[in-house]
This record gives sequence, structure tokens and C-alpha cells, in this order.
Amino acid sequence: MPLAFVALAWLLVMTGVNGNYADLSAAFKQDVSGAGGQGGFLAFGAGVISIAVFFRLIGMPNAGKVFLFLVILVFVIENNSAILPALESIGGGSAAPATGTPSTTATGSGAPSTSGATTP
Amino acid sequence: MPIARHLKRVDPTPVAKAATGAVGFEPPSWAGYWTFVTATLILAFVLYLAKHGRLSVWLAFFTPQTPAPIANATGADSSAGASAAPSTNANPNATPANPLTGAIPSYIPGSSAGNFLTNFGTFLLHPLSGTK
Repeated sequence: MPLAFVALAWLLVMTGVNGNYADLSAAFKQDVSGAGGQGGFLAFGAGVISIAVFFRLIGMPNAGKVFLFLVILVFVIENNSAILPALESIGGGSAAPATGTPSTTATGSGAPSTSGATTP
Repeated sequence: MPIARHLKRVDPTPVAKAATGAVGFEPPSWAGYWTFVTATLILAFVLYLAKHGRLSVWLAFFTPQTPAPIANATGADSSAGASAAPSTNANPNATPANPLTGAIPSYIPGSSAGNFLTNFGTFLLHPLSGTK
């Protein structure tokens, strides 16, 4: 949890420095809340938290850890054609185009574009 | 005193968690269950963004970027139309150009590569610097 707070604080500070809070709001609305009535990460995260709470209530936290690991593993294996090239392009300068790739490159330079994919 | 013998305080003995009598492993406080859940959520969000090709957009939010160019002498936004930056970053306190030469003073950030002393000297020698 402290790691999450540190990441959130860094995000807010950088947003204040860069002045792109409008872009951050649009990206949050599109990716987390879900744009156009389509579920974003909010539904995905709610499912993960529900699994964690369920296994905690029945007193099997280790089984919950294994189950969550399997959930992430299945998510990666199911979408490996889109996830792995995107993760590989983080360190490299040339971004491999993934499905629904927005106009910005993976180098992180310039103002972020909000014209990315809308399908969750 | 048989009753006192029954009321005698009994110290709890450490419970052996293994058949061999070894004390069970106690994980550190940061390696708890909800720490794992939080890390899973962060990892899931990263993978979710990578799936939809939005990871680079969010990485840009964590990166300090080059500040937008300051407003020119007329106060208009010099970066309007050139980038996706909002058009409200015009500096109302922008220093006007030199009325004699029309040149923009070099102490405006980003307009000169001079060091601090050079820029500060230009600031002192500027004809508008002494006006009230």
C-alpha cells in the first residue's frame, strides 16, 4: 500500500509540474472508469478485490494469493500478443504497434494523447 | 490451599507449529496479504494498459516533460496550435519587449542560454526595470 501511495503522489506531482491534468483526467476516465459505457479497469479491479476479500474471509489467504496469481497469469497468456510487445517497447525506442495503439510512442515524450483505443 | 494452586498463573508456552517442534515462520509486516493484493492490482493495471496500448500514455504522466514555451511579448500563447498543451498557459505577467530595440529581453526563461549572472545583468540594465 505505501508503494501505491508513493506512485500516486509521484503521478500527482508530475501532473502538477507538467500541467497536463486535463489529459490525466481524460485518460483516467477512459481507462479506469470506462468511456462510453464500456467497463474500464474499475470492473477488473473490483473483481480482483472481491477474490481477495473472499479468500480472506474463508481464512485461506495463501489460496487467495495463488488464485490471484493464476488470474494474472491467465490474463497475460490470453492477451500475450498485445501485452508482450507493449512491455518490450518500454525500454526500447521503437515501439512495436499493438492493437489499438494510440498516436503517442512508447518513449513517453511529449504531451500524452487521449485519442487511444476505446475498447476495453 | 488447593484453590490457590488452581488460580496459579500459567504462562503461555510457545506453540510449536511443526511436528518437529520448530517455531513457525513469521513473515515480515510488509509481506502481508493486502500488500500482495495491492501489488496484484498495480500489476493488473499495468497489464490492462499494455493490452489496450495505453501504457505509453500513462508512462508519460510519470515523466517530467519539457515546459511549454513562455508567452511572447504580446502575451499570446506561443504554443497554441503547436501541441496538445492547454491554451490557458499564457503568462499575463510576461515581460514586454524592449521598447527601443523591440527585442525580447534575454532573461526570459527559455529565450537565452546565458548563465545566471548574464541574465541578471541584462535584467538590471533593462530600461523597464527601473520604472514604477
